[in-house]
Order: sequence, then C-alpha cells, then structure tokens
Amino acid sequence: MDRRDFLKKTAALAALGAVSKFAAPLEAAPKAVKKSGNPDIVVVRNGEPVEMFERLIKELGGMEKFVKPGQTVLVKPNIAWNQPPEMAANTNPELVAAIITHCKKAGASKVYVFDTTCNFWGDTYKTSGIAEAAKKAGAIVVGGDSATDKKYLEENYKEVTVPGAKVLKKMVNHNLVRECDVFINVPILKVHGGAKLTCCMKNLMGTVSKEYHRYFHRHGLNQCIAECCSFRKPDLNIVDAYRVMIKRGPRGIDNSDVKLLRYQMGGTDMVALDTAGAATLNVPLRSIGHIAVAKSIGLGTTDLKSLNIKRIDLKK
Amino acid sequence: MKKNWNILRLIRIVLAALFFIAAWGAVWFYPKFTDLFITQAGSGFLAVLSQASLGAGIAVLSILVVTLLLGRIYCSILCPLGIMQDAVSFFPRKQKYNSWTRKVKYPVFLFSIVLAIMGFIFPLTFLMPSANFVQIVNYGFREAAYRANLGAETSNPALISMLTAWGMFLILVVLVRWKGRIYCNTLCPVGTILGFAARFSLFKVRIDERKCISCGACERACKAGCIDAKGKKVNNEDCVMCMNCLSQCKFDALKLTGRKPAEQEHPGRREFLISGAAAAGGLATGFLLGKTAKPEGTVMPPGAGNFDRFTSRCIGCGLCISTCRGNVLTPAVTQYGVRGFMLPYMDFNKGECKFKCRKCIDVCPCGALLPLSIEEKQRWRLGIAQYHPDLCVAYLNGEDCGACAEHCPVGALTMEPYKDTAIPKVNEKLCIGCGACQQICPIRPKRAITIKGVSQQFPVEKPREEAAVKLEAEEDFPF
Repeated sequence: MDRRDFLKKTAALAALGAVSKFAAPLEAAPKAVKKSGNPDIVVVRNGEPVEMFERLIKELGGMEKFVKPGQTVLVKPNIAWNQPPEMAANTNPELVAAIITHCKKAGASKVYVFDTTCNFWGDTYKTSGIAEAAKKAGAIVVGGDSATDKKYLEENYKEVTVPGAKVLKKMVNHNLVRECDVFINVPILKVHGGAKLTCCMKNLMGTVSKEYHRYFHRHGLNQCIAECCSFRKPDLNIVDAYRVMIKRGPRGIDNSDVKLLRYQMGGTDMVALDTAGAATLNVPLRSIGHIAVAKSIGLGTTDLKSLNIKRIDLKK
Repeated sequence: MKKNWNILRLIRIVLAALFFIAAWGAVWFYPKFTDLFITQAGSGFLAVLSQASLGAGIAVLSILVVTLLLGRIYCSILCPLGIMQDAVSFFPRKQKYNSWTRKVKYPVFLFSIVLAIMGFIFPLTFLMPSANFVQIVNYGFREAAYRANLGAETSNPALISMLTAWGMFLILVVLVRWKGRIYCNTLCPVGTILGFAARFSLFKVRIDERKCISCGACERACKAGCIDAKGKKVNNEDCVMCMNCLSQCKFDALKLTGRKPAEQEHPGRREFLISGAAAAGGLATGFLLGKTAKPEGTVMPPGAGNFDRFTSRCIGCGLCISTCRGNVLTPAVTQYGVRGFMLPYMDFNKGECKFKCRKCIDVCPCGALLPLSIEEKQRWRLGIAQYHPDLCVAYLNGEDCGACAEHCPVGALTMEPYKDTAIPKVNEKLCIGCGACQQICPIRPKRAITIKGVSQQFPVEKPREEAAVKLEAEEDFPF
C-alpha cells in the first residue's frame, strides 16, 4: 500500500464515519476531502497575521509537535529589503513574533532569528520591524553583513559540502542552520524577477553568505536554490501571504505592487507550499525552474491533489 | 599680585581634547556625529558662499564674533587639525619669533582664493584644515587599521589615497617639530582670515613694556612663534591663544587684557607685491587648468550637479566618504583628471548608492552637494545603466539570473523574455544610476551591467503606477 492509497483509504474511512462530526462550519467544505491526522498543508485566510497563525499551528498539531522542551530553534524570516511591512518585501513582523512566542511556550531554550540581507542589514532589520518584534518576543536577533564584515562572516558562517549536489557542491552557510535543533522557515510570498517566485525555497538562499549568492546567480540560480534547500529541510514552513507582492518583486517599487491578500500557509513540504504559493499569485508553475529541480531531486511534491490540505476561512 | 594664568591654559586644553575626541570619533566610529563639522570655519565660509546655508552662516558669524573678542581661540579649541598639531608636539623645542609669516601666508591665500573664484578649488583640498584632518583620520589611520585587520571599517580608498593622507600627517609632524604652528600661520586659509580678524580683537596677549626685561621666556614657549621678546611685542595676527606663554613670565609683564589697543604692524610694500604676484600666478594657472579635459563617465555624488559646479565647491574633505552608508563613495585618484584628485566619486563595484539615504548631502560641510530632499534624491540621475550582453550569464548561457532587476529601486530594469530565459532591459526614462544593479551583478571581473556617469545631473520621471492585477485567491482558495 503506497502513501496515496493509504491517504485515500483513511480519507474514505473518515468521510464515512465522521463528516458531520469533524467538518467544522468554518471549513470550505467542498474541497476538504481527506482527513488523516494532521493535514500536510494548512491554509488560512481572511484573518490578521497572529490570529491566522494561532489557528494554523493548532491545525498542524500545535508547536509542541515541532519544538520539544530545551531545544534551540532557528526562525528564518525574509528580512532582505530596506522596506516597511506595508511594502510586503519582508516577512510580517507580527507573524515572526507570534512564532517565537509559540516556540518559547513549547519550551524552546533559545530562539534565533537571522537573514542574509540584500540591502544593508542594519537598515532592513530595523525598517522591516522584525528585529524589534523578535527581540520583544524573546528571540536572539543575529545580524551582520557577511559581504563586508569579515569578523561576522568568520564567526557565523562555514563552508559545507552539499551531499548529492551537481552544481552547488560546496557553499558557505550560517552556523545556526547546522546547529539549531529545530529549523522554522518563514518566507513571505512574492513574485521574483529572476526566480519568478519567492516562497519557501528562495527564502533559504538567505542562509547562505552574501558572497556565495553570486555563485548561485553565475552557475544556474534554479539548480542552486534547489540544491541549497536539500542541505537541511526546514522542520516547519510558515508562508506569510498577509500582504503579497504581485509585480516588480522581490523589492517592489510602490504601493501598486502590493496586495492585501490575508492568507497564511503552513506545512512541512516546502515544494508543495511553493506550488501552492505559485497558484496563489497566478504564477505558472512551469515557469518556476527551482520547483521543477526540487521535485526532480525528491525534495517534495508538486501534486497538491495528493496531499491533505486543510482550508480555513476565518470569515465564514 | 601675580594672576594664575594657568587655569586659562587648562580650560583651553580640556575643551580642545573634548572636541578632538568627538571629531575623531565622528569620523572613525559614529557617522551620525559628523554633523559637528558644521563648526568648521573654512568649509562654513564656502557653504555660505555656495548655498547661503543658514546653519553654516550662524556658525561662521559666531566664530568671527568670538575671534573679534578673544582672538584666534578657534584655532586652539575648534580646529581639529590645530589640536592634532598640539597633540603631536611632545617634547616641544624652544621656539623663536617668526617675523616672516606674512610674506608666505598672503601669497598662498591669494593664490588659492583666486583659483577658487575661477572655479578650481582643489588647492584647498591640501590646505583646508578640517579637510586635512578628516583625510588623515579616515584614509590614513582608519584605513591603516583596517588593512592591519584591527577591526576598523573601511571607506575603500585606493592605496595612493592612504599614502597621501599619511604624507600629509608626516609633513604636519615635521612642520610642528620645526616651528610649531607654522602651518597655521603660513598655509592655512582659515588661519589667515581669522588672523586678519584677530588684529582687531578686544582681548589680546600683550606685553607691558615697563615690566618686560626681554628675558625671552615667553618667546621660547610660544608655539606660534608670534612673540618678539627683544622688540617687546606680540604679533597677535599669528597668536592662536594657547596661553602657554602667560604663566612663563616671572615679571607679570605678559597679560591677556582688553585694555590699551596695541599698535599692529600693517603689511608692508614687499608683502603687497608678493601677494599681487601670487594672485596673478593663480589667474594664469586658472587659465591653464581651464584647458584641461573634463572626465567622462565618472559618477559624481548626488547633488554635485555638473563637473564645473562640483570642482568649484568640493574641497575633497571626504566627510561624505566617511559617512557613506553604501560604502560607494571613494576618493578619486585619476578618475576626475588633475582637477579632482581626492574628490569623492561613486565606485559601484564596491557598493550601491542606498535608495533611502542622503547622508552625503546632509553632511557636506561646504555646500558642494545641492540640498536635495530624499524624494528629490530618489529621482536624481547620477548616471545611467548600460547593459553588456556579451558578458551576461542570462544572454550567453540562458541561465535565469535577474539579480540586477531584482535590486533596482525605481523599476527601471525589467526582465524581458529572451530565448528560454529573460535578460534585463534598461528604461532610460527611469534609471537614476544608483548602481544597485552593477553592485549585485555576479559577473567578474567586468560586470555585465555598469553605470556611466552623466555630465549634468537632473531629475528623472516618476514611474507610472500600474493597475493592480486581480488574483483568483481573493475570491476563493486557488488550490
């Protein structure tokens, strides 16, 4: 019995016994077919970032399922650009704070937050509101410029080999990615000039030193992104789609590039979440090279129909 | 009764030390503090002349008033280069009266001022004390500390700029060892102007001829070489009010007093002649310089306007460079030709001009950069991006890259479909030449997209707001 069969059968069983019992009135009933323990992907819409996250993590089985007492956690949001939260270039600071709070509640000993930024890190950490929100929530904010600050680079990054990689055989990535017990990826959903879409996988490029970004761009961005993601898969991905950037991404020029969509997605399969993200932003899946590569090297599935997706509309 | 003059000297030393530490710290560690260079008289004069800057006007006026009251006290407590000279004068030598300073200072001053008026301000790059101070600290000490891996940051000056700064410092040390504050009384334009004002100041160091026995104790202690013990007079024009001499007099003949205006010597005929010749020399040099070629394609800092405007106002102090957050401003070596050695230019291989930053405009102490607001600066064209497909990975190898378009803050770069991938296209109406694209381009050693400076900077169009796209997800779950 393969996974798909298993899912189908359990779903059928569940449907038989307990449609009325389990199907909460909030769910978009027609699409919710399968039920087997916790869903693979949870999508919440029409709420504020924090309330959507509370619901989402509850559906995924609670933060306790991912973070055990005493563990160290790395939360990796997108803090790349010197843009305010309204521009949707960086992850929503309230969401980052809520995740940290839940990690702490679950008993995490230390929660770290960092990103390798595109603009000057001192600006982006501040303008994005993430540094302040994360500190308030009790996280350790790690920041620095790996391109010009040699000391920061030496102390925080190390060259590693990427097992099984064809192009990105070696890369320099942040120590926290290797040292933390739990790795939580918190991207924001945006369109992207080069990679076409930035979601879970593109966000992980921010674990690599700035100088090494150049290697990605020179030697095949899509291949490198996928291989970079194979190094350590996040234990949990939370996609912030509260505000999304629908054009001129990933930086954004003015307000017309941003849409208040009020979505949030979560799950463990980053390829599936990226596929869902592409559908959300109307980006054709075949145009996104790194998703195809990731699928081919077995990082996850693009077949959303095979997954147990829980859809929750907080307004209904 | 003998007055205790030492207290005045002590106050002077404490104030000077405080200001010196603040100025050094501002250049080295804390760019936000560089605003304190508004206290600098020389660059302040220039800011008033070039932009009628109110802040600089108030500062310059206050300095003049203080000088008319107390003499060149500015040179001892507010001039960082003056304080630096005092700081390096350990084990000072016995000094002697310099009677000849006027024969040098007026010609030097007139030569550089005539050139400045003709639009060639560059001699002041090497004569203006605040500029020399910033250059020595920033390109000299800080850069050396950076290169020696001592944890200092760098403004990426070329090796030759660092050596020039060290050269300035060593010359200064030699001059101090030779004749104390001789730089201030011969080469420094601020010293010359304030010295002229100090002739009319109310309080002066004076010698009581009835009490003085010409023992020479004060003359030996005077680092400015302005006391003539034999002639029992003080050349107050050269006196920097360090008060070192006052406590030396055992006969109470030396005083800081407002009474009895002493006779001042006026410049003699010979001084007029030399000065006139220097002015004429300046005029001739100016005509020759006018024939030198203007640089092409070198990107000037925002607000520089055009090359003529820029080189007639910027003294190359490099405060903008030490403040530059993008680490993109760098002192020029040959980029501007002979007229622009040490002037700041934008090196986009080192960084980008941060879109939301106008620190260089804020900090410029001499008004060389137009006072653009942040909104104006964000539309201000410094140069224009030029795409070189023969170097680009997208064009050559068909790789998705798009790093340049990704970083463009004005949407002037768009990725246009090309074969299986996309290549950047420059919208010449929108590009401001901030260099974000050149800075991030992964191609080495030559980048596939570079910025060419414009000869005249000007504001470009605002990008049109495009209509927002409707998403299926707004209606219902899209998957």
